[in-house]
Amino acid sequence: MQQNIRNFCIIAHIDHGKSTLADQLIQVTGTLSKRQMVEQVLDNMDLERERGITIKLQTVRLRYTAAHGQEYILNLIDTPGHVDFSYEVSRSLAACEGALLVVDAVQGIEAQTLANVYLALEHDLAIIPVINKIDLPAADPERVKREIEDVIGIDAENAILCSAKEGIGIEEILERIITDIPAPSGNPDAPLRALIFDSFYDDYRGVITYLRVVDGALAPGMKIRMMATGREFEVDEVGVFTPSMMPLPRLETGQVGYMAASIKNVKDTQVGDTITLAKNGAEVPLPGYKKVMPMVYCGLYPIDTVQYEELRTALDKLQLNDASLVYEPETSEALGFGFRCGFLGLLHMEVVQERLEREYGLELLTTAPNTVYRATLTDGSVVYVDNPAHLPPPGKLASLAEPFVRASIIVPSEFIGNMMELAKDKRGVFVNMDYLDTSRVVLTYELPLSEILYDFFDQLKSRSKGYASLDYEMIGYREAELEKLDILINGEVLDALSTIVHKDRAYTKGKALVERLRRIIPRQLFDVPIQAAVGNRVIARETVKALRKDVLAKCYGGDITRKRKLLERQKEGKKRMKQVGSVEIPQEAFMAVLKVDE
Amino acid sequence: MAIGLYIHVPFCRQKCAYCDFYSLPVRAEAVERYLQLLLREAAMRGTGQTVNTVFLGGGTPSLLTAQQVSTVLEGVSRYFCLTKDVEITLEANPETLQPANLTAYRQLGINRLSIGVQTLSPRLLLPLGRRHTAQQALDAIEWAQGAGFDNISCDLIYGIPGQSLADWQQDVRMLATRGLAHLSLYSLEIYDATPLGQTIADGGLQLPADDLVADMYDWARLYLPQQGLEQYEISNFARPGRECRHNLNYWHNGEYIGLGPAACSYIQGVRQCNKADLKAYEQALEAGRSAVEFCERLDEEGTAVETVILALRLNSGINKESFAQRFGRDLEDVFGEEIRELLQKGWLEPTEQGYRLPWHMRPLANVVFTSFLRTSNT
Repeated sequence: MQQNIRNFCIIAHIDHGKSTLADQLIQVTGTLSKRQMVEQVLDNMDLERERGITIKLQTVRLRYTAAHGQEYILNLIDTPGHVDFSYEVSRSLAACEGALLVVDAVQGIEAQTLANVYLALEHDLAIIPVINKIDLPAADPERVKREIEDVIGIDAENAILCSAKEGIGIEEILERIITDIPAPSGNPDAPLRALIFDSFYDDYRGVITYLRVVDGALAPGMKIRMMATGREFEVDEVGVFTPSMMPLPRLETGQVGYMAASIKNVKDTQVGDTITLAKNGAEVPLPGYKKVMPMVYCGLYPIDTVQYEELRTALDKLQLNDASLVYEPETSEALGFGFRCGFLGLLHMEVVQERLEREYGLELLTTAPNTVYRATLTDGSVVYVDNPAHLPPPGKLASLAEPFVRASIIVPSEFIGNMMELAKDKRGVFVNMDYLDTSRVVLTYELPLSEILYDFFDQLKSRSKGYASLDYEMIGYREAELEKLDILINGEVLDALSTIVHKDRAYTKGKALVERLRRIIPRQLFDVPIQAAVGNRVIARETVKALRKDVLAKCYGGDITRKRKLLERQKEGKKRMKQVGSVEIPQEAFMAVLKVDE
Repeated sequence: MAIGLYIHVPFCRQKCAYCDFYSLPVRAEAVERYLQLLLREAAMRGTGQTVNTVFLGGGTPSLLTAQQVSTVLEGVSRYFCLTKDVEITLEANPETLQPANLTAYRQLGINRLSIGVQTLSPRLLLPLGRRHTAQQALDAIEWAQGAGFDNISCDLIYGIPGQSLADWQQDVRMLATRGLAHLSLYSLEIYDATPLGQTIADGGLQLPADDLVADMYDWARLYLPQQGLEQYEISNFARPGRECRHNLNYWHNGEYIGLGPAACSYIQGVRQCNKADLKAYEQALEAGRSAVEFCERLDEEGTAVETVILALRLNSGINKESFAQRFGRDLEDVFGEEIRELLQKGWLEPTEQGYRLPWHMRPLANVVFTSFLRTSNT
């Protein structure tokens, strides 16, 4: 039985056709009929469809009878397609023996693909190169093959030429999965070890854990223990995804499936943790577990203060499904009661915000995101600061450090100059440059994560006419000359607008920020000074001049309704602003810091 | 209680570049047809209501010949009861006025003229798309006075692309010294769907800065009272006793009936507007139906909000006693919190009979008005 299982995933850049290929595999193996298929079944969250990305993992078991007559079980494990979720990717890869490397026959390799292939190679996965979209007129499979060989260093001679859209090459892929990917190698007689690679919360059954049985077997009634958290549960149900959940009497060595065990919180089934037996369990967990730490923080505040409790409830619910989301109550002098929330990255942050607004009907004000700073105090103690407003005063600070990343940028060589300039603007340190072929390069830089949070990605795209792709990984903290930049509006520090900036940038950033705020903050009935300050030193100042005219000239019989509606709209617009002291500030202002052109 | 009667005359020789009122190019047959329909509508809606103001607006009502105006007035007086002292206003464009038609209008009982001068600066008439010259406007005023009109109002526009404070002061001075009874000063409002709106959106013309426009307003409301023209509404100035009674009725949130395409009525708490389309208006009336396309009834609170907002447009402000009489509740009962807050901010000031906008808040009236609005009352 174990010999007839293949566990694999698909590695691809956004838009290179991963979902379409997955759909084809599901259809060709008869797992779902065409009628049952909602298009692209694997991306089932609205947001995922809209953005063409995968956030929540999906898994599906395919039954396939090979050309030589033997039936196989192929488990396709989906992987998230964004740098924010690279740890989840690594755990999904760890649950597989092989991967389809899907590369667009026109676009070639992109940074994201590269990062994930390296990750797959680290896990010793068998890699089957698939060149997709060969039906396109501009397809150049030979060039892409060379690229795969040169850049990744794997043999692409036998790369499968495929068009997932047209159904070309699908049978070949299925055959190659059987011949090229090894069967799972675990020990059926050893104590249970199963790798958790995802989970979701079900209102009726509690947390459903996605797992790969590495050793032994898992069956209902077993008492199990999570090796990292130490929590124990009794298994209610196990099964596989077809792609809907189908219960089975047991999951054997090598199988991929799910488990329900009346688990109330996803935090108890951490991705990467190992499930074993509560008694006489394995002694050594599977390698690779780490606790995921949020990298990006922002404040979330209800625009209407009465929505505070609703926001808390919504966050509680989202967290049931998202172990990497952290939050705690926070009070801002300017914004009132809200939450400081931690995310894996910017995309994760945007997704959570959008879900809160869409699925829970909340109107939120979001402060500009920031990274977590490491502050060493004069007494030698170390604190991590996730809110710039809470940075200890300069007198108590011995040093400050910020997280750095190593970024790979793949870009056509004509844009090298632009990329170098951008990296320099963003305090990047050049590490390396490699030619992928005669026309494309991989640039490697070390950059402060905080700079990536500012408009780095937009700049990258605009300065490369959209051709550059980016991937990055954390490489730890580095000390830097940082200081807190405060913004005062009408003489009051607006804590939600405080940022931590490099000393050399404080002046230009402060100037740009007050200039931008002057344009964003509407004229009030009095002059509103806007100042940027470092400590007690004001480094830039602008004034929003008092409003002098806001009146409808005409209002006669036929016009009264229309004029009233105009006023009603005006009032609605004001409601969406945040009243800070006596100044009305639009939401946009709180994100202004992200958009300043220095 | 007497009501106002508004008659919309939807014809123009040419549409002005800033105008978003309903109007059509003038054609003789169309005008005759329209007059028939208008009288049919008057017959449908007139039940002998007492009317103390009639306003022929447009469009360009002065495109109607004296004969046609006479048909209209005779017609409406058949179905409505016009009071002895009825105020009858005719809106006019300067280029349509000559001594002859002016004399005829006056004899028909038109006792108030509202002339659309807009500006006397030739350079500024152009972007507005006006067809007349400055001289025509001045002539029209003189001829109207000669024909016996002693209640003449002129409209001026400020905030025109290219207009300086000096341009504006010259316009206002030239009119203020001509013995007019009334002046309306309108800040140019831009509608996207108009040619001027498009030109501005495309960057072809630039509006003067808000602060300059505010300066123009402030200068005029300091200057005009010295010439005997007192401000009585946000945009209106008159010699004592010469305030436009028809418009005062709007600002007192009184009742009125509007006849003609796009005209609106407000009777017994219901506001309704006719279709802004002559063809559709015709079809409805021919089928014996009403030509109404929009209708709203405000609840008591919504009516109170409008009453306050409209009254605050007037320098006299909101009168507590008439409010209590109308709604059976004290003003402070309904709007106590709003009024307290506005008084405290200095955005409202008490008068002997109620409250009004202080001088500095008149150009910022929307700020005050929006504080009285509540979630939809329709």
